[in-house]
Amino acid sequence: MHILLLGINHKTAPVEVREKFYLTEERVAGCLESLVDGSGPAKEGVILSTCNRTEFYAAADALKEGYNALDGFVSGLASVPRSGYRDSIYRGTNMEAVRRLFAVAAGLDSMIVGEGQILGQVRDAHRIALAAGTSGKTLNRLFRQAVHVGKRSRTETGIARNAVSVSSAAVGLACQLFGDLSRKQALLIGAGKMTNLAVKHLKSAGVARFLVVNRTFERARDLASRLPDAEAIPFESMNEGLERADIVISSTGAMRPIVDKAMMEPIMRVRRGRRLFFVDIAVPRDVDPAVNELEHCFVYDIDDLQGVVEENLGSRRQEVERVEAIIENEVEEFRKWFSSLDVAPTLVAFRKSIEGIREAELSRHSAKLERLTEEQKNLVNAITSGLVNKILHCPTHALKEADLRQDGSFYAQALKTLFGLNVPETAETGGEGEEGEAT
Amino acid sequence: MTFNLLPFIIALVGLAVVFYSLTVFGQKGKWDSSASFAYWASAALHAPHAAFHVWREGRAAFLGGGAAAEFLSLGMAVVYLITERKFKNRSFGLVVAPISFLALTFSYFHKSGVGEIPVELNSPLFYVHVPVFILGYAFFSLAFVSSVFYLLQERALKSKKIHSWVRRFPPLQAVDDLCYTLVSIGFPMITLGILSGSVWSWLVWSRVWSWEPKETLSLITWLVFAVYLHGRYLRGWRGRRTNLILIVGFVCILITYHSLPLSLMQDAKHTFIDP
Repeated sequence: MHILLLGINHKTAPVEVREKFYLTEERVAGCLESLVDGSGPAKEGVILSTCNRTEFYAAADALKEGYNALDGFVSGLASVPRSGYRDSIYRGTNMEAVRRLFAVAAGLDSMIVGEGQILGQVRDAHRIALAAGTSGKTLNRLFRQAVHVGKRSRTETGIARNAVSVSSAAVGLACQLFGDLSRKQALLIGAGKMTNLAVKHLKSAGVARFLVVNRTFERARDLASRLPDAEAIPFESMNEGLERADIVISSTGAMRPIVDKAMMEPIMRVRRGRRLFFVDIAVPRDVDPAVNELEHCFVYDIDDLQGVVEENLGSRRQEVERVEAIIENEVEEFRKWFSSLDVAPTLVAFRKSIEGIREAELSRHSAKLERLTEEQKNLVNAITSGLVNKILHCPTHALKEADLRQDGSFYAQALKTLFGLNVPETAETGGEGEEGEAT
Repeated sequence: MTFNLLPFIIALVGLAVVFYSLTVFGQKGKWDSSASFAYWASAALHAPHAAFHVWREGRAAFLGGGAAAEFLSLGMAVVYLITERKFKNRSFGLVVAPISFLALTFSYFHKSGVGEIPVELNSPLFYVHVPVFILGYAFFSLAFVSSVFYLLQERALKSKKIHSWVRRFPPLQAVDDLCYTLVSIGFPMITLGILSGSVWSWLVWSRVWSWEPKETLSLITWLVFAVYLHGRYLRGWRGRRTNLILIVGFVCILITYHSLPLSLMQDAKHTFIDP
């Protein structure tokens, strides 16, 4: 059994090419069924299709036929000639495919290193294949272990640590300033997509109380009504909001700053040194940078937040080496399992096959054997058993040696071919197969 | 001839210094338990060692700059480890452990327990006056460490240059509040120390206060921290100003501790202590 991979991603193909291969969930199920239809070489298949990559994983006994089938399938999918995407396609066989999938699950192949969405996408791809009945023992093990690798990378290294979006970076800073946010209030000035995103992050960080200000009072009320514990404040009373809040998210369309230092000085006196954190995501800026000069005001504009994000991405990239070490470790685990897949059942089938020959011959001559004495019958048994064992000994030993050298699959395949062994699919957890038949 | 545990204690603290640096600058989370373990181990060795010392030599165990440094280190270690438990953050260890290390090394090279206490000063008040000061100063020293961390982090957050190790510090507000808590606990202790000193002086010399150098300096130190508490609590002072006061206070503590050369110039009550 071999594992085959064919794919394109954002590193090998521009979006015009990638979009030709993008498959929705429904289409994936249909594609899987036609790829693994029992008549072709592919015995198992899983398709991973996201906006940044489409990858076809298959398990097949014959390598060349397997790739031919995959190639044919892929060109059937694309509505452009092969020359259009040939350079964008990459392949991976056996451990290369395993390594690649593990790297993808760990987030190393994503546009934002360490992002978490891909892990769910890998899980979903497997789920769809299971439902379609096209994922079998090999790919089940592969994808389950890939999810495990994804989790390990994210818990054991810093690959997924620290905010890599402007709004989560802002909330991270708020936590750095205040610690526990559950008793802090946030003032929202203006509204928009970024405000909503920031609110979402603030809520999950524990902020419970919101004050909403907008030039149009109706819009403030509207936004406040959509939040669990929020109060709308008229624009003229913005100062009061600034006195009460701890975090300010500002994103109005104003062309000039609406908060300046002169205005903040008396407010800070009223606050008696309570710190105030401004998240100014508006362009042009809503908060005059001079406000940052006030001791207890911390003003971060969109560039500052972007700087924090860059810094975080940098430290994530430093973790790549450690993730790669985890991946190598897991690839080795998988390899051991994978090669034992072929070797152990093959040896069992081999023994059964030769034993089968011995028993067949003995029963063929059973009538004449009946006329022998007990002692002679035992001798016949002993000689034939000895023959079987000695015949088995060398190839068995050689196959086990090959397995240790990571060549197990190849030798197992050779043994199967040479002796015409029929090695049945064993159960998921491994176990005794049925009688091997000799031709 | 007792077996001197001090080198082992110093070695453990040295190990703690290394581990604490790694908790801030190295791989996140990997060195946390090693650092705490090393420091706890050193304190666990040091406490009985110090207790034994006191039991054997009595009051003389507290004499000398070496003894002072050693007990301060133990005090800081215990107070710090308790805060570490509560805070679950080990970045302060980065400063506390080296201070401990330096104090202990200093005490190793300065013999303690030399000198005799004049007979008239043999009083149980000794065991109130001295330890309460040591513990109080331990709290204040830790408050100093917190204020250093506060100022570092505040500078980073204001200038928008936030290095990864700054991220490992506890939240800014928590650090500021911790300073306040530590000083609030240490201040009554120091007050008790000064009062017990007064009472004692009155019992022995019939004078409540004699303006000798060490007394005066500890009063100044007391005033600095009183100003801190007043400003913080009553006037709502917060941030840089209060933390700078704490730094001034710590400098006062250091001066007070080493004020003995001045004492020698006069006929003072703290002269018998070998500097």
